[in-house]
Amino acid sequence: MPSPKPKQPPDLYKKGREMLKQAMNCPNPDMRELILKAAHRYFDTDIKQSAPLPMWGLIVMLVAFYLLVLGTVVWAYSKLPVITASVVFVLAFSILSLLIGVVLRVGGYISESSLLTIWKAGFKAVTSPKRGAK
Amino acid sequence: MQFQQLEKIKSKHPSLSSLIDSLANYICHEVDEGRTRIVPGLAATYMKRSEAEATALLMLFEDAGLLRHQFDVVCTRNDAVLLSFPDLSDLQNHIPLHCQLCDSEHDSEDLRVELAFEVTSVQAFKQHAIA
Repeated sequence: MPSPKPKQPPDLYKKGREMLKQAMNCPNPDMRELILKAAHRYFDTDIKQSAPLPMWGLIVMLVAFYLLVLGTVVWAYSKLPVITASVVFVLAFSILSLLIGVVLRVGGYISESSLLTIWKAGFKAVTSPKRGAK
Repeated sequence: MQFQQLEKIKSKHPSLSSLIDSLANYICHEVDEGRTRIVPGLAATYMKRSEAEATALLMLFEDAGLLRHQFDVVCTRNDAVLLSFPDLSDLQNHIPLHCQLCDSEHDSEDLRVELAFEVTSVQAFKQHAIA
């Protein structure tokens, strides 16, 4: 059985983050812009170096995840009380969104920072109505 | 003439003119010493600036066609450059890499990737150094 391909050194992403930090501390706006562009190139390279999944593979994986979650939801509403089923529904879609993000990241279509930003925004969206209620 | 392109960059970024000159002087010095591989960290030390600033300026030089970037795959145990690629997409096919100094096969945990630049026109920098 062939051994799985080893992952590649992840230093470029780290380097890009360091550059972003340094750009924030740079007093010269011209230089700041250049450092930001350079950091962007590092992130870009980090995405490109991950061998991307072919589009058909990505679609098959996403459809499989979606069907799994849909099946769970259908099962929950048919077998469980409505309130419990609703909790399962929310959890199932949260997990689905996480899986979609991870698949896109593994496939090399989005960067780690994009994945984290999407998750932060999602978390904010979920928690802010509660804060507003308080 | 390639240095006209450099002048163009200086006119585009007048506030960085002195830094661009400083970097050009460093590259001229390296070329003069017979070295055509420019490492951002060393350029930063010469210019007394941060590595981020040196890298950003080197990329500017690359955009002007004076340098060409390459990714060095370095052994983390002894800092030896094992391979260089213009594009990292091919790297996966070369891992694990054999390191002659360690006399062992290295997986990604024992390797790091560093950005370096190669001078594309040695002659242009030599002429600049004379001028």
